[in-house]
Amino acid sequence: MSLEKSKNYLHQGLETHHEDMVHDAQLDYYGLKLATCSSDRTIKIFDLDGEDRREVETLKGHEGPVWRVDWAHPKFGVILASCSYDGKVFIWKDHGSGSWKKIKEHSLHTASVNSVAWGPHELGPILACASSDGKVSVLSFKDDGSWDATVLDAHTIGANSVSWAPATIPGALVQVTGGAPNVNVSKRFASCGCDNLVKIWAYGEDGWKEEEVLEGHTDWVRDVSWAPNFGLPQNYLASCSQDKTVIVWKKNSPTSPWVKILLKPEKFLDVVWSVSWSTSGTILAVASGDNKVTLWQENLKGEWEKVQELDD
Amino acid sequence: MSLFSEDDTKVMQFTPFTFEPPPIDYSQFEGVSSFPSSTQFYEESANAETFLKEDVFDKGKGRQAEAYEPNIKAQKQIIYLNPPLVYDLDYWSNSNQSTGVKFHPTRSEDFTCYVFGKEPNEKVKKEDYTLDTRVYNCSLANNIDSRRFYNETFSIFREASRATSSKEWREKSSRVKLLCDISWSYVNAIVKHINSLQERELNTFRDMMSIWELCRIMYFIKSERYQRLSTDLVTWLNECYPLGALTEEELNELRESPNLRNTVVFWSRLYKLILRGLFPQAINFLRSILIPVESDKFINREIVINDIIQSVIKCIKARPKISSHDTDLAWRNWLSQCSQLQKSIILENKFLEESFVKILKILAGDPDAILSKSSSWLEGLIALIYHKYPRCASSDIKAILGPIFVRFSVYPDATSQVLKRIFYQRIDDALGYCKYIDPWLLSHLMDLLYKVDLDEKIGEKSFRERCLINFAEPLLTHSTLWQIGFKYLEHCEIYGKVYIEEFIGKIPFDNERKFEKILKICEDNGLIFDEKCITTTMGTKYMQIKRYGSTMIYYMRAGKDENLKTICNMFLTQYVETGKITFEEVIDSIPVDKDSNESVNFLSRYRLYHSLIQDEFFHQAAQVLVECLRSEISPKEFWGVLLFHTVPLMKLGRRKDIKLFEKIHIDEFEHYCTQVLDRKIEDSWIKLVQRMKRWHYKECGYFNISEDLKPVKIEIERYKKFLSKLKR
Repeated sequence: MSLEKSKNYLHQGLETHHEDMVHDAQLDYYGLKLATCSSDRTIKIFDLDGEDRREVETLKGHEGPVWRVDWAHPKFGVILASCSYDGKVFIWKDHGSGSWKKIKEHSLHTASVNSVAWGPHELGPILACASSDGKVSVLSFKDDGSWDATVLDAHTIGANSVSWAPATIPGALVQVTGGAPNVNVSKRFASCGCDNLVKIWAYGEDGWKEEEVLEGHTDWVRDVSWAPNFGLPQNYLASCSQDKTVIVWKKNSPTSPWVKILLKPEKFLDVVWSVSWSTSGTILAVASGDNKVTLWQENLKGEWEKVQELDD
Repeated sequence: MSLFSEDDTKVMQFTPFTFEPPPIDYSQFEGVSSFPSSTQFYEESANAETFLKEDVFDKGKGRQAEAYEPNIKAQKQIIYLNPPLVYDLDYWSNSNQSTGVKFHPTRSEDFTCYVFGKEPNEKVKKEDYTLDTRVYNCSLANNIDSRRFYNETFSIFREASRATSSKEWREKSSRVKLLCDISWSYVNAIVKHINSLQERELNTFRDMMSIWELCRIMYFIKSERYQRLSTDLVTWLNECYPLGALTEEELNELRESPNLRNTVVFWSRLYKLILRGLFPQAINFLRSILIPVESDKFINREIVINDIIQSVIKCIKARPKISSHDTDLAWRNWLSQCSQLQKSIILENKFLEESFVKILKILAGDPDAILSKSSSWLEGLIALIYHKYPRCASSDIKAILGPIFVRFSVYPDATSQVLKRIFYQRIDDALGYCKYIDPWLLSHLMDLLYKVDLDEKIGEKSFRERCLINFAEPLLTHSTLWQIGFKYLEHCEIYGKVYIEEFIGKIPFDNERKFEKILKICEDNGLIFDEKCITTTMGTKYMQIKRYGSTMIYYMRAGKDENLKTICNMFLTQYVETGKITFEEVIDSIPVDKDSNESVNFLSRYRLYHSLIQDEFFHQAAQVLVECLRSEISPKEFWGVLLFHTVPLMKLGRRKDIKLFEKIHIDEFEHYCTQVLDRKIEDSWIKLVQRMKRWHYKECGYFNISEDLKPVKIEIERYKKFLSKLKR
């Protein structure tokens, strides 16, 4: 392979024109819209059409820095959730021709809301939120247009992030078909927080319950990300922490326990702030406080190694 | 074309962004082969460099091939995100900023990076950070710009899949032909594509072609009677790694030489031509050093040399064809001739004598002579096979490799490693290296090799699928190749469906044609849930732009009864609010039948009622009204409205002595009055009447309606009397 060929890191910078620090950037389901949020208390929406990137809207309403944004599945409409230091979660909807309106304000939290994440579309419009008040809330949109909120005590000192499990039960090669989304569907999410823990929450007959507590980090857990599953029996969850480590939690079958695997034996040079899985769940991207982004892949021995190019 | 002018400040421009990989430490390469890597070999100018390397890395220093592994791990590296600001570790650790990363929602090799604030600005000083408000889209993938190539090779792939179930496939002899035909089609496609490529991709595709052709020779032709291996290999070498043209320096040396016979460059070139079986060119070369002498002069040195040249030419021409029937005997006779000629060459000019002898030794298959004149392991190997083992089979080659790797080492580049492993018959390892060259090569070559029953050597079947999926995945999000991507997935029996299911919903669609194509893929693969989900999304898109007819059509297709009910109720509410039928065009554009959704069916019937009234078909209008009530397909709180509609019809009947309603209908109206006044819907009913009152009496001058349905009840009583009178 030629040296030139491996240098394929195409990189295109988009100037958001935020007036203060950016906190999150999130592409929509198709990757055609980008939402960014900032300490300037605004959310900006961009249309990404090939090489054109066009700012289409600035959403205002939060009274503090906006931490995270997340897009709902397009079958529910063009809907965006945002959470803020002001302790509120807003749901925004584009009513057509860029006419964005706030359609819901969720203010059950008493401190900064640090993370929001829409659940898999098979579960309907459902949103999980993590807050510095130590609680995690789950909002479900009902057919009559009302919202149902469940607030859970999750992490003392504060909850930092939430991530939903794929709706398909791992190992189910044939997924939900025949219009029966409640069959073979997993309704779970993971949360992490300042108690150094990662927690798994599952929905059952009695509503939301803490299913498992994963202990492994020695400092605040900053981010958690559940890997997409493509028919394999394994379940993967990645968490990163103030302790400068990344742990990949692996569950070999729905009944087996979570096994802790350190992404690398030695610590990262700085706090690890975010982890993200590729669409097919095979590559893990890790961003640490020393301005480095590394990509990791599991080898056949079950060890994690940096993504390689032969002659990079 | 952009809808916005260039000076529109809202149009975002690309801004440069750099990843800075650490410099590559070339010292990690423990040995550099004297043979240039395949890509360098095409370039004439590279030859001089190659020979320089030859001097630095002495021949014989190469290690045994199996002991040598390229140090791939040492080449792994971190991707450094490096915005154009001066940052250092301490700066990042102590400042209120860090790097964030998010993978692209549909493309596995794309991700977004940005600099984010760790703490809210309320808690930090301004100097704690340098504002960087850009978001970077990064991609590890190649741009797919070989659309025609992918389209063409997919057709071959599909033909190959079909071939395995054909009658010809079951017969061994015709199977080989089929396989070679398929392989040849792939090579043709690569060659055709090479002609249209830029230099950068050219190298990759040339590497792909050389690997593919070698596999064809080594694996696809397996007949016991196949005796052309050595010839095919030498042809392969000359086609894929042709002997470069002479350099300007070499040409000058030849031009300026007073006697070519004593020129090193001349003989070096001639050795190469002989090594590579390029005999016509070699003969031309030899003829060029024939010096014309007059026959009547006594024998001199030149005449002797001329005779030797002629004898060597004759010997070359006499080389038996490997495929002839009497090869063994002919080959032995020819070797004997070579040997005799070799012994007969005694010249004053020792350089010339040695050169002629060397040529004959190469022709006779002398390993030392061959390897000493070869520039690379590949050239040496093929020359050795061609001259010493002309009838060997592919399985014999690994035994020949030993002396090659004592003398030569192999470049650590992927192509060289693949070729080495193919000769070693280690196809599983070879494929492992193919992934570093191109996913197309790995997936298609592996697919074909599975068809040659090499699956035991390659590994489990799922490996083939994984490779095909890895290749197909980037196609799925390509604007024009996405359908081919899904077709590939359809050829993956184990995981294909899961991937189709995961990705099909992520294909953006902005027109009905593409939408229908997406649905067709769902239909072909039995993905009912996904089909409904995508159809719902289409409905929601139309809903957003208030095209309710299309919205309802798609929601009906998706079976979204609740959504349909919401839209129908919205229209009914509009009627209650204004007294205007705003859904005429919408409902007329929807194909409605008795099996259609209940809400839509009611709306259609209700629209019919109003048009009948407008056209003064009162009898039919009365019947529709009765049907609507009887079928109970309207919302319960709307029953009252329907009952209000009965009032003017009953009045009209009485006034004109027309029996628009039967007695039984009147009894039913009474029953529905009771139902409407049921406490369960009391609140919503009262609100509805209040809204309707605004226009019903004051604006339109209709009768005064009331929550207790009094006008209806009064009219019912009157109509009963009217019916009694009619009866009498």
